[in-house]
Amino acid sequence: MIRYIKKFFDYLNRKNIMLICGLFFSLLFILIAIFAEHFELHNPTEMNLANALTAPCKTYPFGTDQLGRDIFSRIIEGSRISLGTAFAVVIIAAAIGTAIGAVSGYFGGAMDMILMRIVDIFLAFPTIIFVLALSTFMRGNQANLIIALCCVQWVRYARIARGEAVILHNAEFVEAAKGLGAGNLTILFKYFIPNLAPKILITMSMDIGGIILYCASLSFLGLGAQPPSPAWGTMISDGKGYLRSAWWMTVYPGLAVSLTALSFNMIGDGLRDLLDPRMRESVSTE
Amino acid sequence: MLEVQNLCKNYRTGFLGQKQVRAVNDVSFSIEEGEIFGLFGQSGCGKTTVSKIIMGLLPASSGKIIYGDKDLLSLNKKGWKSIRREIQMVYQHPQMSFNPRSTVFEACAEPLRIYGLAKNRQQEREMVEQMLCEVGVSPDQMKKFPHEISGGQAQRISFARTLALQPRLLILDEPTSMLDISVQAQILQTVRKINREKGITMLFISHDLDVVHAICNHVAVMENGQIAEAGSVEQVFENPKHPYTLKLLEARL
Amino acid sequence: MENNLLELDKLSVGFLVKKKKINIIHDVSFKIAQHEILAVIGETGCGKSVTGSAILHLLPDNAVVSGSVKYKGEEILNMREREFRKLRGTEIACIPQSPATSLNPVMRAQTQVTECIIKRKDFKGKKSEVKAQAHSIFERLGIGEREIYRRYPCELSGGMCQRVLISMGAITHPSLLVVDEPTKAIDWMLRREVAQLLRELRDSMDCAMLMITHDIDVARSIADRIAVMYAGEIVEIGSPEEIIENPQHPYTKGLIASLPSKGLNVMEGFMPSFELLPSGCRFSDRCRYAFGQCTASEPETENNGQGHLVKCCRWRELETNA
Repeated sequence: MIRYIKKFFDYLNRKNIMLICGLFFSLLFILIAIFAEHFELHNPTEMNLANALTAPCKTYPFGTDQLGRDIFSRIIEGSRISLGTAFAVVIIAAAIGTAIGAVSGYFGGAMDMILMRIVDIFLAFPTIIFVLALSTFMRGNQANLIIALCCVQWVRYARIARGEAVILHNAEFVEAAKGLGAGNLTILFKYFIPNLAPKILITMSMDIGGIILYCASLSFLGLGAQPPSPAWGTMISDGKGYLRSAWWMTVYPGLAVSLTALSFNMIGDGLRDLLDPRMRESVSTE
Repeated sequence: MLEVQNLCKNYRTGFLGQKQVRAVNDVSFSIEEGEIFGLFGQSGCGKTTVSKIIMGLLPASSGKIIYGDKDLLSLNKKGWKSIRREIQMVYQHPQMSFNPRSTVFEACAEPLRIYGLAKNRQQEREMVEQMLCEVGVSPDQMKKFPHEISGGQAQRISFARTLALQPRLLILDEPTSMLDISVQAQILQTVRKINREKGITMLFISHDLDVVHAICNHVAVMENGQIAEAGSVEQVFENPKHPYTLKLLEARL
Repeated sequence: MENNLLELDKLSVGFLVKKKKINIIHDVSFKIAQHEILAVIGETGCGKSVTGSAILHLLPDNAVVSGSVKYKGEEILNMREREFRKLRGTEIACIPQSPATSLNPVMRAQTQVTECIIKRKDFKGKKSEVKAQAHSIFERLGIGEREIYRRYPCELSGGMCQRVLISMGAITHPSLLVVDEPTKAIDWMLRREVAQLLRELRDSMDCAMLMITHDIDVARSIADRIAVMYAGEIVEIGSPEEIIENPQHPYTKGLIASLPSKGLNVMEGFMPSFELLPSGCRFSDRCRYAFGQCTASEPETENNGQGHLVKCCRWRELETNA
């Protein structure tokens, strides 16, 4: 284990700046989200009409909105919602998708056929419309948004896990394990899951960025977290009417969305380089 | 000990499975207790398919495989469980027969865990160490991952892992085709030693005539899914009857 | 000697890894005469492929090379890439190993072969001439039928792919062919075919070959001389009969004895990794005959009189004992 951590840092030192930057910023954002109270300068929901639409200044570093709420504090409060949703969706979707994909690839045959056709059905809908339909059908709160996004996202993991599982299914070491007498559960948990993990992890970290964007666009459309809780998308949506007079209302939440999405994507890219077997091979032979 | 009778295996390919490919066609041979039986053939002749059918990893189309008083092909899952331990296999690609994400120790402990052979962690550790010792691998290799060990070592560990189950029949699927000559000699000597000292019967699959000649007692030559010629090694190599065998012997360098 | 086509003199190659130099091949010297086939045999990781790459300038960037490689009397080791490119392909060609992966899967066999000439910058002739040339080589290698050379690599068998690779190396009529593991992963019957093919090719094209292989039988059947490599050093060079019937170096003896047809005698131990080489003779830690002097100093390469070179300090005693 220690050897692997050491190897990991060796690698970081050598070239994977992308991963370092991504990790640094994402950790920063996560910490900010966890300890949001300590960073907020004002109460994010407190209205102060006297200071409405103040340009960025010392008291309000990112300015205030049309109701006089501090944008900076609202962005920080909003990071909780965005990151929380993104992590919840990714973890639930990956767990469901990987399980279904691995089972489908391992058992093959009719089971594989049925599961993959279900996946195809899910894939056939345009994602955003599907989520819109689901979340209007259910009541538009955050929990339902998470469920709706999971319904869409698990399909990707199922596809990826199934593809890998089919390769693993034919691998000699899996056959060897069967020959030794290992049962299906042993093979799935000890052989499939560890070997699927890298690909799934990469997809997860890439997905977080995407889901943050999804959340933003959905809350822009008025779904998900309801006012007065400050979702980033809602903030941008609120600001769009004041774009000419108060640019800070849209630009800062927009920056928050793109920066978090970018940093998680960078982790994904970096991880892919790190875990790609070919890359790893060239490292070990050097 | 093991008798294969009229074994056939057909695959369906083509549109709607209209074409039939006979991978194994009417193969019969019998292996005597305690011998090394060679199954020789070029790549794609169906020898690996035969081994997988014997291992119970592939269903056969027709035929019988008599092992003791049972027919392996008509056994159900429960029946297999009782004899799974007795028939074991060593694969061709040394490192690829190990889970790339677990260490050598875990790979060796796997069979012990499946059959609950060790009472506690301490005993498990001792058993693995003893296993590796028997095939000449030093215990400091245990913490390594499959891609960090050499081919020869990996193949020895493969042997160790199957030997832990005390099998009666060991199938060796080209165990040395990926190895260097000097390592091949080491491994084949280990095979001989195991065969002699433990009395384990072996089915040795190979495409190298010299190796088969050197190590086997009886040999069957396979061509296109059929047995061309079978008999004792002396008989087949010194007095070949079948034109295919003759051709093979002529191709010797 | 004037008719030496290739002359290696104390060629050493090391690789820089984490700012540390690890020496792989050490003081390799041999000569290839015109029209000669020299087989370099040795086990995986002994440095035989590195030797081939060094001659072809195909080493990775972190390689450190010293010594000299002369081709037709001209030093080529430190030649600039642009000049060497004129030699590679036309004068010195290589046939890579593993036919399954060395061919471009989306290109027809014929195109792959003619491309070797047409895509060169200095190419001026007609494409149809090149095609005719390719066909004559295909015919010579026994794959002359039209439908074969129009196929894609995946539609050809392993032996066919190997032939396509061979014709790619041979089409430019090089004087020296570096053949890397021609019989690896090839069936029993094809092995002999490929070996014969290489020999015929040498005769009809009049080129010399450096054959890198781990297959002693193939080396014996087609090579004029065999060089045995161990841990980055040439330990013995001689004619095939001498090497196989009368090996002098303890490593060669062990290697030959471990052949299945020679009784499968076990040589203990493994080749050490290049970071942990023993001092003195590189074989000393596995050698049955090693004594004080072996670990103290590196043995000289000596000639036993019949063009048979041995790098061992005790070969004379061992010979008289035997």
